Amino acid sequence: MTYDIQVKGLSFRYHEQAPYVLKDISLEVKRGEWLAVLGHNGSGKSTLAKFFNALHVPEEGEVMACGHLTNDPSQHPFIRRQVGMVFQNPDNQLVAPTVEDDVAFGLENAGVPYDEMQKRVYESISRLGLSGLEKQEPHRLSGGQKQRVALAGALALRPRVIVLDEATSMLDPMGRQEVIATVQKLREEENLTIVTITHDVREAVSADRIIVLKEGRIEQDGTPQDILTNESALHQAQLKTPFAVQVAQELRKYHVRLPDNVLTEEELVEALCRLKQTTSHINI
Amino acid sequence: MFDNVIIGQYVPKESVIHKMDPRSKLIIVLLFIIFLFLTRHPFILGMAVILTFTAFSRSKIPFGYFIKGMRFIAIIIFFTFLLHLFMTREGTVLVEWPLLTVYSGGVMEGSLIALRLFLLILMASLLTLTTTPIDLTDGMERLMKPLKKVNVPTHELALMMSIALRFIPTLLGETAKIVKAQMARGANFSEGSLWKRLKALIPVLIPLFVQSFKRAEDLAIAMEARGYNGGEGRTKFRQLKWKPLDTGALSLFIAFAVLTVIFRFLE
Amino acid sequence: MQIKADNLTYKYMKNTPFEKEALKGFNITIPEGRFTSVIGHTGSGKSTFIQHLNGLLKPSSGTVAVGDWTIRADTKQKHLYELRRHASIVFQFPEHQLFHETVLSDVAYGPVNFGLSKLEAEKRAKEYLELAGIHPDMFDRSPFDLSGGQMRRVAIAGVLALNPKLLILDEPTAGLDPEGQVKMMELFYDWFQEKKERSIILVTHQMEDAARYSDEIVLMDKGTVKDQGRPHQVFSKAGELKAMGLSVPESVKLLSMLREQSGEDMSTAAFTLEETVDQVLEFLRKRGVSDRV
Repeated sequence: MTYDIQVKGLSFRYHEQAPYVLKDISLEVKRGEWLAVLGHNGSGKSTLAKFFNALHVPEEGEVMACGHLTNDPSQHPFIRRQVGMVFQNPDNQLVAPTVEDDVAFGLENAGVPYDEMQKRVYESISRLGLSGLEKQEPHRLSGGQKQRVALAGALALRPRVIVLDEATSMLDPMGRQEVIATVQKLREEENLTIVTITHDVREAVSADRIIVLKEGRIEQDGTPQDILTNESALHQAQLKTPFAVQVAQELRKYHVRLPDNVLTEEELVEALCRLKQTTSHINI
Repeated sequence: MFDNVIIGQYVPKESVIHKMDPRSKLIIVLLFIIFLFLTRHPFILGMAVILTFTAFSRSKIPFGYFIKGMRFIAIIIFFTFLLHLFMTREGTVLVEWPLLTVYSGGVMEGSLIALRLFLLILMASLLTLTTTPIDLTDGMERLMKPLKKVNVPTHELALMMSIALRFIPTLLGETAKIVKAQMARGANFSEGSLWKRLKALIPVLIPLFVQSFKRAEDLAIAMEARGYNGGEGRTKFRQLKWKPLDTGALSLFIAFAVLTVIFRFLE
Repeated sequence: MQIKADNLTYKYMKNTPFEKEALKGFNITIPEGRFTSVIGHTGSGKSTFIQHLNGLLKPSSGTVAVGDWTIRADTKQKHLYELRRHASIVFQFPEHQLFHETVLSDVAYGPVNFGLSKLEAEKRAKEYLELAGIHPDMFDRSPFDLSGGQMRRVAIAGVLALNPKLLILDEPTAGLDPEGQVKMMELFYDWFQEKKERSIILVTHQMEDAARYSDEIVLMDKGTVKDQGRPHQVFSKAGELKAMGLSVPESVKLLSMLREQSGEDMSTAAFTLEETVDQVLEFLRKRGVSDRV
């Protein structure tokens, strides 16, 4: 099994008198896996994300990214090419005055030759549905578009891992939908490893695995079905249970027989509609 | 509130001027300004007017737009005109009032300065109106390249400039927002003594600085995450292309410069 | 305060190549004492509209009347200053407007501006800070030392301390985590209910909040008002909303999907968990599903 991210016994605080933000974190992210890290604001999830591409380096414990220890500064350029990041604030991560220049920024840093760079920039732009906006200035874009530009910039480097560090938390629902759909599409199209950091359970529904972080500790680790149906654990971590799960759980109290794996509205509706077919002939 | 600021604004249009290489545009503007201030000859000045207006009309930028953005600058030009009008004591006396006398030389001198300033602003605006900020910084970086040998950090300067330009609209938007938020809390920027008005700006400036530092921090992290490591070993996405058009335009202005020098010797 | 817009038009960057008509001459009346949500796609003009309600923007043409004030293109700033005593706005990410050395003096800034003595202002500041859930230990700290969520609550206390009659909220819960969002909305709703003459205008993308707290919903699209009505009326048109790039509350979404997929004629008017469950049970009953133990 290949792991793209491996964290062992990681603890972290900003300075010596400060309380620990991360406490003894150990986790692995498999190649091609989609991991969602859930936690309320201040749970340490964003800090954790910054260890994945050596923006923070561990003093206690160790972090391996794509097979390299992040403590070794000589590996940082490699690690940062392999692990692309999209951050929370859409306004504070675009560097260049136009979309195409911004997508090119990482490639320029990596010293990619001119012809190859041209190819990759426009390829990345079109893959993220940004064609036609090449010359646009960042401040004229919507929040969702800005985040897709950031994603295009990361993808142009052909990384193995993409980390979305609360990349949707400042967007409106349309923008959020835009970004989530893009991530899902990218995942289907190529063997990318994806880590999404979020407090929105809806973003975790289609992940392979979920980790719940609370006060710097991993509280839960499991499949979306394990975690998202565990109302009390979510509540403890100050998170909201998905609406469909809440409705399903209430319905079960009225003895409506629903399968355990209902997580989304679609699945609930499907299950409710199927109830008739299995029961009507019994009733007759 | 910043609706009328046109300095640094780029207006996208399909025009010859837009298509020119930023390097040739930069050199031309520089040449033009130097020689404009070297000459007093009406023939050369007339030529400068024609050159400027031809260039402007070819840019397809509505002249009204330029005029609107000129309001503040027009005041400066007007005062400069008055200053020269009253300070120059040459030529024949045109008006004689108890406290001030206007000489014909004053009118000449004032008009000359006003005309020069006007043409200068027009040309400089034309440069920024037709060149994207990134092309402008790119052009400057290339032109300054020889300075790298004497340890001038040309790449860093150009990058800083380009980031600054990228964030101007964001900061303007932010300023407008904070101004409104404080107005909603009863801040009054338009009444009271000068001191009072200046004091009223503190609640705007502090949040603006705090936010800018936060932005700078975020941006530094994002740049690091994207592998920025100084100018060493970096390739460039933008390649500037010097076209025949640039050679042509530059030749025209060199001719202007040569004529200026010739006329200066003839005087 | 009653709000009445008459042919309200607003243009950004008037007379430049970037001119944009953000409000295209609409009429609307919002009575006093209501909780009204304004929903619409980003760029629909809702932010521009609400900035007219306390005179931060003036109409390019047309008028907007708020209480006893009428704002036109040529209305003087001085006249609007008075209006801002009574109509306050909480902008998106209000924590960005904090500036004072201490939490207490920041909250007192607005009341002092509007003529309260320092002592009175601080008394009021304390009252609203506590209401906003800020512990007295923090009153003398710098607002910049607080957590993001706390900073937001301090900023909101700073607006509530103005004691407005009309409170305008622009995405007040954006960026907060689920628990923070609920607490924030409860704070506003409690404030609203305390006095009969208080009104709230909430601009939000959170359709669940719009549905749960509003007496009325105003739907904006492309610079004009497309619909105005009670939440269940506006949200019954899920298809139309979707076409405008808007979502409906989760409960409505679920029930609409159920209606569509089953072909059963059923109501989609439910905004709480209980109401939704009731509707689903009703649906099962109708279908004769007795799939229960």
